Amino acid sequence: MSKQSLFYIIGAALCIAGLVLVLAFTSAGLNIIGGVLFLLGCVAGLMFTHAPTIARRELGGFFYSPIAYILMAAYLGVIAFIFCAGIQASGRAQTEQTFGIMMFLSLFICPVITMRLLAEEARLGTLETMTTAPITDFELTIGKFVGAFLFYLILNIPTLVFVLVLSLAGKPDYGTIIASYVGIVLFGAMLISVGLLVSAFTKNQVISAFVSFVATFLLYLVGIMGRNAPGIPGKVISYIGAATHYMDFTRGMIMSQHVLYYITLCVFFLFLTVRTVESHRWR
Amino acid sequence: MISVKNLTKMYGDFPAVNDISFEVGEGEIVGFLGPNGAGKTTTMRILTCFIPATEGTATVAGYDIFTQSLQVRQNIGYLPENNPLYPEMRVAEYLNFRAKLKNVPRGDRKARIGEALERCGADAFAHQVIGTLSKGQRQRVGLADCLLHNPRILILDEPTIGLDPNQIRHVRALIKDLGKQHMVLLSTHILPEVESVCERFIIINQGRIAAEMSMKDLQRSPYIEIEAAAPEGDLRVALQQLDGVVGVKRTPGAQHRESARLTLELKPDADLRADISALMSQKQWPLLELRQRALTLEDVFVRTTIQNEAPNAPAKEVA
Repeated sequence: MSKQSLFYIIGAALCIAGLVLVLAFTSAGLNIIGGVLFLLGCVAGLMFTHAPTIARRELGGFFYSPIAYILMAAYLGVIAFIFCAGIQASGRAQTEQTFGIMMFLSLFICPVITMRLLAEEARLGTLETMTTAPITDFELTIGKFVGAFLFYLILNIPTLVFVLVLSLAGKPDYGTIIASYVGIVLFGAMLISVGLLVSAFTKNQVISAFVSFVATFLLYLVGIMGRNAPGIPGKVISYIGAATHYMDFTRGMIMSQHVLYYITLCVFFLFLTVRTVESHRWR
Repeated sequence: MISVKNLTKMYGDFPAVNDISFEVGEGEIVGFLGPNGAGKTTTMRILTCFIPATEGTATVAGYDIFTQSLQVRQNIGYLPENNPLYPEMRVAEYLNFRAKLKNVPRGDRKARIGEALERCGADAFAHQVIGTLSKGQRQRVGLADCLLHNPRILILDEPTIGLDPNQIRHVRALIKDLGKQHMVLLSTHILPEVESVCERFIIINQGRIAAEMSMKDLQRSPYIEIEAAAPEGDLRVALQQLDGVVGVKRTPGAQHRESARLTLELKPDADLRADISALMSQKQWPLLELRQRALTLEDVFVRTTIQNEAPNAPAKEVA
């Protein structure tokens, strides 16, 4: 057995164990261990594939272009403004509004992050060199996803300054902050998987960004619409919406149903992306 | 090494590649020729597993292109048409990325990259950003990329397009040199390129193989242009009966109304000039012109690719 397939099996086992711990137990400790196992499983499974190579090139690509810096400046600027305004208005060390706006901004930021992923390769023609190299379409897709996701994480790292400020000035609820960050990360992962899928369909980056923005924004709006609709249809619509699942995170709750919602959607869209990339071969 | 059987590729109703079969053996340098839009690039894309065939099969380096795509791709170095590269990366950085994708072991990577850069004459600008390179330099980077994993087969799609004459010479010399260790399939529509580099050529036209010949056979195949003052039908029949004549074709450009002008295709190494002259004096037809030439690649190319366009010609005149 090759080193690669061994690590695939170890990774899959860890992921399944992690999911069982998250879903079957209610104890917070076990759930957290489950989450960590799940992440470790993902890392182990991908370690000896080509995905890290592609992810690293992709991440580097962001910082070659001015897009990374413009995005960071805009994102952090707006959040800083909301953060200050929220504290001044309430006089408390609260974070709910700040994380709410971080989520809302992600709707605009993520399509810009993902627009070039596959569309740029198709436009340059490098998709041809890429897919005629001995790599699988799965590795290509996951590599692209991880690259964009890591950039999204890096984008969010400077927001820890706000936590530092809060801890100096007052006594923030660290549990809420951790939960909110988990929410942001999951929400971003889902947005990026949608954007990646859209970017697999077109050569044009503007179309790619705009369509994935519309798609994710609809997913977001649907939840708000559902809240006002009556009966079971209202509940279903509201469950489909992305915003519904986000609110509990900003209130300090990491609930497995919400975690699963984001992970399921993310995996689903990644699966569709792999199929779309593959379809270049049988079209 | 490459074996193609009845390969067909349809784009909608249009057959870009129509039922072609050919073989390329170990260590050969084969030129893949044809007018624009003949199906060269499509065939190469199928062989490199970029697009699938509609029908037919092919094996590359002993692996099936449909079921063993990864092994096929591990064994080929492919330079696509107009050589796509990432403009924002540096040359060495790009090659390092490609080497990882092509499973070059970590320990060998530096040496392999250095070797590829040196062979392609790209070491001078290894640390430059690709976007700032000239076309010729970019082409060398693309070729270096092909060599990284030391593939058994190189598939090069128009490797000299857009280069200046000096660069073309350099790339041709390089390909010839590479042919000593690798099998090379190279597409082009520049005929002198094939003459100077390839050992064999395959001409493809409108998705079909129009001709296939080794350069040696080509040089050994003479043809004769003849003009004589004789009824064309009789002349044709008489010439066809000569030993060594493969085909007789009417040729335009007869200088007298009563004379006929014909082109004779001959068997390799045949020399019929004496026989024809004897025939003419026997039949008492005045011989106006007799010229024997070796077949050139251009003759074969023009003859096999231009005929099929003839049906279109009257339509154009009407328009």
